[in-house]
Amino acid sequence: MAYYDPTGWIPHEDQLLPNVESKIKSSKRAGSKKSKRSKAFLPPYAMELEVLATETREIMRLSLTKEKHGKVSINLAAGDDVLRNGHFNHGYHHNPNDRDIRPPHHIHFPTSTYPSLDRHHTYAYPVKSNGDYLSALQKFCSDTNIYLHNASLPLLRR
Amino acid sequence: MKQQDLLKLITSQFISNLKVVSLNGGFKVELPFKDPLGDPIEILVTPTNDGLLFDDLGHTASLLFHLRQHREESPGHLLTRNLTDAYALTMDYDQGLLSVKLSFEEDTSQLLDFIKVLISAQTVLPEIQRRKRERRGGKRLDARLRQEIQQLSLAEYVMRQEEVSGKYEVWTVDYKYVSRTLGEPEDVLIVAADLHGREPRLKAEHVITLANDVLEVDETRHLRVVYDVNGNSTHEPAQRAAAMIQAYQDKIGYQAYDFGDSRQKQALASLTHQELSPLALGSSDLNV
Repeated sequence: MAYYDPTGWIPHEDQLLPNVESKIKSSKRAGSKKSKRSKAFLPPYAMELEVLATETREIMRLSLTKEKHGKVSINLAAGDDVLRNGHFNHGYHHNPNDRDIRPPHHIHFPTSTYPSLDRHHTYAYPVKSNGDYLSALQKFCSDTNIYLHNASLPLLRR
Repeated sequence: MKQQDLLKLITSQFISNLKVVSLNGGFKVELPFKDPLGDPIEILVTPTNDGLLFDDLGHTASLLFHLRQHREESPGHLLTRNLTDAYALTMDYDQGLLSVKLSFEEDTSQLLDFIKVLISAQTVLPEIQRRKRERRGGKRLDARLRQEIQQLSLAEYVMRQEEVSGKYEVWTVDYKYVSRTLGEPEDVLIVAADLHGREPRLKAEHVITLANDVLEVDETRHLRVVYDVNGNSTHEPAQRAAAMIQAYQDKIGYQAYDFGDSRQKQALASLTHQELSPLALGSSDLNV
């Protein structure tokens, strides 16, 4: 487990959000969510994990999906706020400062100027990964200080 | 600009951002529209014996899942289902694919409907989730401030939605009254900045600019900026906007009050009451 500091990818006049970064830095454990029976559809390969911050006891949500032709998206959210968004097997990402992130993998993060990961253009930094579902999850968790404690991936359907 | 120039401009925007690449016997098309993260919206086109199969590569289902809108009763799920029904598209929830099949003999205009639905879903779904957050804040700040002012025994001396001239602009302030605590009449202006909703930074910028402009022309004016982040306390942009309003008060010369803080709210009410009281005495004197 570790924390990746993306400061080097943003211009000097912008800054990381301290509240978000403290949540990312904090030690966390992810486990399979005890889901209630609900009438919900589940896309292939979609998975949801419950992430617990060990000190603050804050509960976050880690969601993963894999689309046709291998695009993997991983979201870490606290309430309605998306803290990190991993894109694996994607194309180029154009950062707001015109710095291109080469394919195939990158992780989005919020800054003061571009804070909404779920709605708008944001910065991302490149990551190395095999690109398969599990290594993408491991890389994402490694960069966000999440220990995969009890993630037996029970919701994987194929 | 001539009609042809405009047509050329719009066409170039569509064409230059439209890309087609071959992929596993089919084609991946990058549309000239971006998804909520700034990446191009893509569709996959697979040739079949009698036509073409278009699908969204699972992006809509993936978005619904990440936004927690994948339950049957969720507004996002309902909206997607209604759209696919209305435009006769197929949403295969097991495969997580939104698709449409077109035969070569058919009218291919359904392709545009497919693209329209796909872009609508990508645009609207993230906004559905945002509304939930805004509702949590309860009553809006201007309603709560109005209630507070109405409770003052001398509320009739407070004018609502008044126009005030600054050095460069005419501004509308939420409340205005005249204070005579120091003998000479002095204008007291109150503006509210509700940082609950969208664009809290713009709201903060607005009140700071207003303060700068209206205080520039008259040093005896008093300006109170009332803001509220209550219900949005974990929302970073609202917190930064509140910090900005606080930080500039000394430099510009207004007083900021956090309406979510009961002590500051009480302090504002007491000060307003205190400033209005001599006015009422003066008024009674006149009546005598």
